[in-house]
Amino acid sequence: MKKEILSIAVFILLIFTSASYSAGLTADEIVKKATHASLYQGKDIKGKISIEITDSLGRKRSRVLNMMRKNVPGSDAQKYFVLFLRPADIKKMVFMVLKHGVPEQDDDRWLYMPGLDLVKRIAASDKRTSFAGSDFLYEDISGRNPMEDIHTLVETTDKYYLIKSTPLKPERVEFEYYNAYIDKNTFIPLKIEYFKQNSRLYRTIKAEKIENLISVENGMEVTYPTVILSIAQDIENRSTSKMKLENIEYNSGIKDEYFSERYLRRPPKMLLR
Amino acid sequence: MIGRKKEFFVQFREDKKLIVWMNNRDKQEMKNLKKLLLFKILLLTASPLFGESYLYSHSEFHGMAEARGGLRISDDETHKSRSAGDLRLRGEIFFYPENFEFKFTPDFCMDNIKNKSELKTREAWIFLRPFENIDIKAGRQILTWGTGDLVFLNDLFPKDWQSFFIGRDDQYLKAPSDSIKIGLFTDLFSIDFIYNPLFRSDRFIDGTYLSYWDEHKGDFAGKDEYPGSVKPDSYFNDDEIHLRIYKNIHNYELAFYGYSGFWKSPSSTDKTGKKIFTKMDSIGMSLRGGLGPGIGNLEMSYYLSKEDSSGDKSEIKNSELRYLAGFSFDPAADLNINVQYYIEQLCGYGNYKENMPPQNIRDHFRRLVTISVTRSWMNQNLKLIFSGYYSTSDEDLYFRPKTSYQISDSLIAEAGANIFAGKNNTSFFGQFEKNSNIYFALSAYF
Repeated sequence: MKKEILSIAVFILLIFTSASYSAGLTADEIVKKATHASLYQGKDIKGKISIEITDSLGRKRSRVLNMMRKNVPGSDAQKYFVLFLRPADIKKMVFMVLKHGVPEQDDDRWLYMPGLDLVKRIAASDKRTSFAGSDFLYEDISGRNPMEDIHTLVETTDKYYLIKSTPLKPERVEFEYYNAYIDKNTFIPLKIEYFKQNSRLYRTIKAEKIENLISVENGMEVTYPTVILSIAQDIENRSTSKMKLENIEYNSGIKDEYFSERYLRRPPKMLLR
Repeated sequence: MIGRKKEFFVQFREDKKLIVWMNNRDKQEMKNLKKLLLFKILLLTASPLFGESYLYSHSEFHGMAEARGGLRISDDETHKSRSAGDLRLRGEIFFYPENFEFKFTPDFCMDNIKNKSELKTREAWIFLRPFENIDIKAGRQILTWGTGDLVFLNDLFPKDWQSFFIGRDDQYLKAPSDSIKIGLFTDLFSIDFIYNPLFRSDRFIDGTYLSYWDEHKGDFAGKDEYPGSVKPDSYFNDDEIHLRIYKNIHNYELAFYGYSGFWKSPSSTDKTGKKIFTKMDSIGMSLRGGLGPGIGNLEMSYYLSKEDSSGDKSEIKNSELRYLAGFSFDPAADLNINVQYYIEQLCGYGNYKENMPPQNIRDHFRRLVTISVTRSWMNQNLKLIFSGYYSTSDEDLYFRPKTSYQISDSLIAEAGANIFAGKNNTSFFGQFEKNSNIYFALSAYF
């Protein structure tokens, strides 16, 4: 009996999902394009990230880091390498992630602590932890796997798609659901709102500034719309983080070997400045 | 730059005229002038490298200033109540032009316990990449490898246990080595080969900061009671070799280790009662990688006491086998738990037992459980770390709670404690019972 109810529920859900088929795109297709636009453009990317954190008492903290990312061709896997430049006490600390892009497989993460010359392995089970003490979470930086949520298209305007995403495993996250306003042209999420129980809004991420960056991919000139200023706000803790991207370069030919223990201990020179 | 070159050539011509004019004068002076000219030419050649903007954009200057104080929380007849008192100033100069990297870290400390001020070089190394797959780092450097969390098996680089037990910053647990490190990287595996022309011991407990149990005295010993030690001191004869061969296999890190040198803390006593270091070789391996929701690590090593390989000399340390298994995971956001189980097995235990006075006999297996819980709040500005070591065989423990608060991007306040307790005065942590201490520190980074 239970099984039947479940299959009816799944059936209704399927009808509902297909009913939300709009302008030729399903919710899942929109989310897929949005994920690509915000995380997978180009073969690789490098740049400088500055984060300014303002807490509830108005105290400011800043983080400056150089980052490089490389896509693994033919999969959703990616490699991340982050070198901290400021504050001075964590200078030269390196954070490296091998993201597998498979929902059930945790990422592999390393941390290099220069004062001890220590290469540490860190658990990646909790991706909903603050990144470097900011209001951005690890998952905001390396992306949440679209297969971890059920997506529904709530609204389509002439500017954006509004997608509501509900986690498949609510026990693994702190939110009940989130709404993403996705730009119809660029597929960049302009705003994401996270809700807890009773639709209580507690966290937002906004793309404040988007720039069209020109690069060359496979011999062709390409334009990558890129968020160069975003703001994460934790409404519960009344804390805000501004993230600015500078010196961005796509497709500079970042080598695979950079994502190894050798370079953890001795970061590539191009990242030092 | 062009303007400066022009200026230089004008000066150069003038210098030349000067030489002609001086031709008949004192030849020694002329030599000096020629030297000056040569120096200027050298400077000119090097000027593209050391031009202001290049120098500026390829170097970094940083530093740290710190005040740290600690107090004993129980009476120790051998020491004053103060356990730590440091005023420290550290500089960091890093220069990274195209072909090499250079780092120099002078560390000046006014140490209230030692009653002296010391200027030490913590790092002074040059890094080169002569070939695509070879890295060389030569000079004074901090070296670490292995998988343990504050437990070391195959990492036989010098440690500063004195600093660790009085609550100095964790990085001071690692004492520097004067080494040449050669890294070879191939598709099959990577190799680190480290050569130290002179053996460097751990900075072990010798009564300077902490009192310890003196077997001969049958009591606690403190400052100035240490019989002294004789360290191997012949360059290139008393040397050390460290080797690691490692590979990442589907993100499981497998490594094999080798070491040839001496025990890192005294392993015997000479006729005059002074502590000495005997030869020790070791081999080992480790494996680390994802395990369920966290990270698991396994490590083992065999320490071969070369001057007592059968374990029948009571005056020299026996060989040992060491094993470690650990697991680390994040049960919630900003919370990390690390648990480890560690065993030291004494080899040749039968011989050892026969030759030792019964009151000094240790267990065949020394077992240790370590747990470390790290929690942070307020955008990770407030951190609390509870780490503890408990030995089930020795029935002693070492507890290290610590809290730190990031006041601003450059200022950190810290408070913590080092608590030792044990059933017996003779066990490793038990002997430090009277040294339990609390400490405070304020550090500024710039």
